[in-house]
Amino acid sequence: MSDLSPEARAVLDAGRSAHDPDAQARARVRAAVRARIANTPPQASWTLAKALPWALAALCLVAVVAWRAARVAPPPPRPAAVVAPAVQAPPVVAPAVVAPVDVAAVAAPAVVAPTVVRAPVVRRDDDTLAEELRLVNAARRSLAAGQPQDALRSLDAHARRFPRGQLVEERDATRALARCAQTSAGERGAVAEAFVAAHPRSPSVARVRRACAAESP
Amino acid sequence: MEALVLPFSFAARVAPRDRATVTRVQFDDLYEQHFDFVWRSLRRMGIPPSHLDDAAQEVFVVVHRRLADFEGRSSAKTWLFGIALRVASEFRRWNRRKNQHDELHDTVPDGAASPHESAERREAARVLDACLLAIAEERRAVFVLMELEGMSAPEVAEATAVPVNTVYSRLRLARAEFEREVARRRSAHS
Repeated sequence: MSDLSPEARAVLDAGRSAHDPDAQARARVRAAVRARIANTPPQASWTLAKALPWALAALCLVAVVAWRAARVAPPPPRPAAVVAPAVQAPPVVAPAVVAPVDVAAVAAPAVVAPTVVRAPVVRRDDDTLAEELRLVNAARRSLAAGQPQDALRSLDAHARRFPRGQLVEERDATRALARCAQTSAGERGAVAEAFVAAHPRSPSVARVRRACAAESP
Repeated sequence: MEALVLPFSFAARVAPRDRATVTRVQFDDLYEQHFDFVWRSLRRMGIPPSHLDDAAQEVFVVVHRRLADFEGRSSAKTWLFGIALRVASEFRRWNRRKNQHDELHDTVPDGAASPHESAERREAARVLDACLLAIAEERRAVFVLMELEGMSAPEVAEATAVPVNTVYSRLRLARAEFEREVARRRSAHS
């Protein structure tokens, strides 16, 4: 099979890494996925909800049979034999989204309403990550708008609130870029290398080095 | 954080499976190891940058619902790519309905990189995107997996659910389409 020409190969090689997501995209999508997952009920509730209509049907059937047996004389009722087929009835098709079942409501037969829709539970760390993202995004926007001082203020706010947050690396990379945008050429190399020393394996290393080398305030 | 309202949703139609087997550790591991691959794959299968967040989100919601299907059956990458293909296909259908064609080159802020680097990266991505779009969809999947992700033909066969022979024939045709587009662009700029 013929291989690609050098020109086509060059197009592939040049664009290959340009399709990678950045750290913010990873964190942003992760927070969104977690929020959506948090809104889905756990498996135990789903099973209970599926079984509940059949359990109620079985109870009704037992009640009807017992009532008829009480009216018709001698033969004693045989609840076990009657209950069995109802329990073995085919399961219903699960709906796409099933509300969680309130166990207390199920336990009390007098309460007819079997399900209670609970407010979605969102993980606390999603809120935290969202707030971290807000601050770092604000810094990035300021930087893109040519306002590195504003960017540094947002990053300082992030550092105060989340000194060991999930976006520390992104914060430090953005800070290095902001500082490079406002320092003299002689100091920009040191700014970049300070970031590299703190995060030697960061995917932002090349970006910071290139950006700091290219800046000309 | 509120769940996003997506313009298209494949996950909404995927029924949850045995969620008891889905542990946070398993899901987190998959996310950590393969998020970049999913993101790249969606982009290369034609999802425009403005919809990549939503599409990647869809993929991983489906992954969470179907994690029980995955275990022990296939490699994570081939399984994930199959889901990404479905999501990309859903997106295209939605996009056709909305008559909003070809947003591929819209500009989403690319982080805090310098203007120089952003332009360089964007241009490389733009050229590659355009050349990939010149390949028919079913062949593009094969081309992307083999030429850009370095997968073997059997892996690609599993990911795209076609026989290995078909993978090879699609790769051959895809390479020719890619070459033609590269040549066309070169002659247009010379």
